[in-house]
Amino acid sequence: MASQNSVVLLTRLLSLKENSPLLLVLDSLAQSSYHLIQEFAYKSKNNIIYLSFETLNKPAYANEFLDCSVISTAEITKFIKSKTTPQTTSSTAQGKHLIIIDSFNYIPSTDITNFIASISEPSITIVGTFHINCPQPHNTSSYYPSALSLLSFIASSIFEVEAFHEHSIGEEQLSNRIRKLDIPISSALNSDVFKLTLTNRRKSGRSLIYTYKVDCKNHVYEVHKSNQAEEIDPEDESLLKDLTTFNLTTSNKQKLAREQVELPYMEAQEALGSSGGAIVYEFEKDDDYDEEDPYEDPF
Amino acid sequence: MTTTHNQDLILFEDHSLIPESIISGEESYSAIISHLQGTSPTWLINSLIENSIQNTATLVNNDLTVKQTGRSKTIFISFINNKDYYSKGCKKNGIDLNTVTDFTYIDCFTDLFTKRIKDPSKASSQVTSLFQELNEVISSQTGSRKVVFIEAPEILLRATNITSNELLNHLLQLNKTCRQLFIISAKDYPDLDAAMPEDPVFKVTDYFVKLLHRSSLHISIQPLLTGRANDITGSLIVSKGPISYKSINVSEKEYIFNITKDSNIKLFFR
Repeated sequence: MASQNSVVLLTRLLSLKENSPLLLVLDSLAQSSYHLIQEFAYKSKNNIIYLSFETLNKPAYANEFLDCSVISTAEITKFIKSKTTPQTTSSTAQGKHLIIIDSFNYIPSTDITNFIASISEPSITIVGTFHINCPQPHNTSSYYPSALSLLSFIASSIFEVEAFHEHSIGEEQLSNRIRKLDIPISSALNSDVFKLTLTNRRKSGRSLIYTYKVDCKNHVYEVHKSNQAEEIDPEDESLLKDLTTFNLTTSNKQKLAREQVELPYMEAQEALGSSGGAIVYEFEKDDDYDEEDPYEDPF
Repeated sequence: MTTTHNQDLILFEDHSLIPESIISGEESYSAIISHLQGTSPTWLINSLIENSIQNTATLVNNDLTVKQTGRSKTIFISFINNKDYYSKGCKKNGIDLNTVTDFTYIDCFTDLFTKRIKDPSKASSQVTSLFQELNEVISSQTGSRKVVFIEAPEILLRATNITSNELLNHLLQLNKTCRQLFIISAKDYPDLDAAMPEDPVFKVTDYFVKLLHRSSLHISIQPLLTGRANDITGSLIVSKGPISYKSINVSEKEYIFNITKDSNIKLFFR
């Protein structure tokens, strides 16, 4: 049931049915956000405005495309206002707009909040990618947070895309090679089937974290259960089999006997049950009891 | 001892190096040729220039033998070599770059810091004019079938005060003037933890990571990771980038290659 709900949540987020002003996508050199963004475009029935800082060609799904590499943020804001005002828009009945930003990495961290605030409107959902492998500059004013911290803080949902690791390339080996910008050949990298970790923040502030396996080719999403979680079962006695010649398992009779053992602290609680939670000290014969000061600490 | 046969170098699933569908298409793509110290990519660049001009690749692919005249306008921009370097190199490929009309060489090496960029500490506007000039030269070529090579633009990050974003924006504009842009860059010593924006290591790492994010093809040439061998010069990895080609798939393969004393190239699958 819970897994069904989480898939519904993902579908609602992708089709912009949830009220989410800023959706942040975190990608890496191993798995780009390219396929997830295409999934947003596939699910969305809204007016799509594509802000390009690094994209060469206008995607087929984009209604509007703006090359932001040569213009200022003020000009970008002006463009968006002109395209989202009700009289000029040719969008659907709902009048919603999806703004896709191909990379937040080209905007300085000091300008990023202003930029997002300037283009935000109730009818606009912003989906933006941040490449986590790009080195993060230290700010000149040393206490100002990094762009990633700011974006993670203001985003209503965070989509983290990762590649499924093949057995031939371990996670550590892949990470080491990527640090040297040496991208190995693997069908799992930058694939249209990838792992997605979704952090969704509810209005109450509570965040829900789900992990999915997303297949963009067939538009199928399913909850991904990691292998480690499945393995941890303290009651699973099959793990103890064939380890030694000793019998390590417990029979039903032994389990029953174990449950019936009266533990010492249970008895102690019964004896002191009348005095509730108070600390009761019973004096013994060698204790030095001072009658003039009954409140003296006997210890 | 077993005998191993040479393999043909192919970059795409149609067994080509630069496919016709990209040159005649309407979209622009970028490819990165990265190399490390000790493994020069010159032999590969010469073969790609040859393939771009006349569709052959004499030294690396025995199947690409049919010459096609007027295949594309090939523009080569270099920040570390002059024209003679590639003219001499391409002679072995059977091409005289001095006489090929569809080839344009833009030498950004010879007078880079004497005429083009006189003050590297305030280079922003001069680099902008340099790239405007490059865009004009490419745009002045007739037709849309254009393949551009740019070699070592990252030298501008190391030697001047421009930021990685400025250079990347210039390259994006340059890329839009052609169908296929090959960016040839050295990727020695990247540091993903670099944090000082003025540090050349930070700038070059940032440039390279962002370049990889926008690329469709990555060709990596590096020495053998396991050490030195007499009969192996290095390894070559062809991998797809995050942005897919619309009409064709990259043929992802890893080769090892050997450049012999007489400059012949032998490739083997790894």
